[in-house]
Amino acid sequence: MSSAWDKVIDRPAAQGHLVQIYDEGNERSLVRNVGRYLAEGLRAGDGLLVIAGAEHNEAFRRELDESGADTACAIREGWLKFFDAQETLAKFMVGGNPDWRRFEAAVGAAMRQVRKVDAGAGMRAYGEMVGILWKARQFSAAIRLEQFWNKLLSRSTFSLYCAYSIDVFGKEFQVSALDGVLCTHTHLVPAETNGNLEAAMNRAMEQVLGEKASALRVLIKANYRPSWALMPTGEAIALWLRNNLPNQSDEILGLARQHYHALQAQS
Amino acid sequence: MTENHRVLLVTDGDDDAGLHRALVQAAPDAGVAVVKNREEMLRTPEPHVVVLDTDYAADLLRWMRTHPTYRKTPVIALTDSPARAAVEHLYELGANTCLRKPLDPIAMGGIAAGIGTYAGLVRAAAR
Repeated sequence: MSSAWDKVIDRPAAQGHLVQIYDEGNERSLVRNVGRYLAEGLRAGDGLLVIAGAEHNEAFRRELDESGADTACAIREGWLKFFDAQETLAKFMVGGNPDWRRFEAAVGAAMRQVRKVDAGAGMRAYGEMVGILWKARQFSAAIRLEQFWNKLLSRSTFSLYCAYSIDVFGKEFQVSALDGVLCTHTHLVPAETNGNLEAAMNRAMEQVLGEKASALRVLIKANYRPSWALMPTGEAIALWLRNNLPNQSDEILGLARQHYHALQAQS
Repeated sequence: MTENHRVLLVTDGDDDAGLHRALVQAAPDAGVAVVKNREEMLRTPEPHVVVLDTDYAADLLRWMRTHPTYRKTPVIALTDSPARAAVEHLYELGANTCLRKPLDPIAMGGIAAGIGTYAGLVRAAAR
């Protein structure tokens, strides 16, 4: 991972709203990145709020332990609180949509339970309720919930990390589906720290497009979308191909998937 | 010159940004036409890619997306507006890609080569 992305995860700006797209079958990168986001927060004196599924809550806790953080002490002192995502979601969903007043009451109450390690320090939250709605194909409800989070972010000083299970190489990873997600976040965090996704995309483009690939990359890199979250090059290439070369994108992204898995196996 | 693919540049200036010159140099295989307005657009052969370098990009996009010839044509809009809302408006109206207008000729050459390559790929996919 480049140092710029290191900083985004380790020291997110107050009101920073990060999102990670991860492969449901391989959640190691999510656990590693979120564990790091939380561990660095604890070191900085921030309070930590985690709203996730039971398995992820357990995995994040293990990751925190392995990072050397005194998780038991943080929980005991109220610096770190875990909440179940489904149970929290049920507190504010009305007729298939999130209700602002109930959301504010439920999440606000959870946030108030988290104490800061140091006076004046900030707070970091991780939430995957949006991911649960997305997986249930309640896309507009997920985006509405992101907007609610942004409303909370605009009122106070905390950062938020969200996660969605979406296949970067699949047809779902395209502008028409993801525009709302990208418009409601500040940064799309790379799933992997090693640049393998970008390398796989480049190799696949060169295989299919030959020498045209390098000229096209200049155009992709220059693409300007100010309302979107900042994103890594690999994900940006995948999105651009899906949106602008729909006929060739299946072949390129299919090959990219193979290269990516091969590179990951070597790493 | 064999015309493989066609790029239509719509500009209301005198190629101030040097894009036409850059396209001709960097994408010699592409047939590049330059027009100033929608009337002239309708008098040119249907392009594979339209590049908008005009203050009237929003109006043109609105018209293009309702016109049978241009409804689905990929559009690359060049902008020198730093205003986020202005750029997002172009996307809402159907621009496929928005680019900040390059300030130096080398960067413009790279963009022009990319546009030429993209037009060739669009043509190949349409065959």
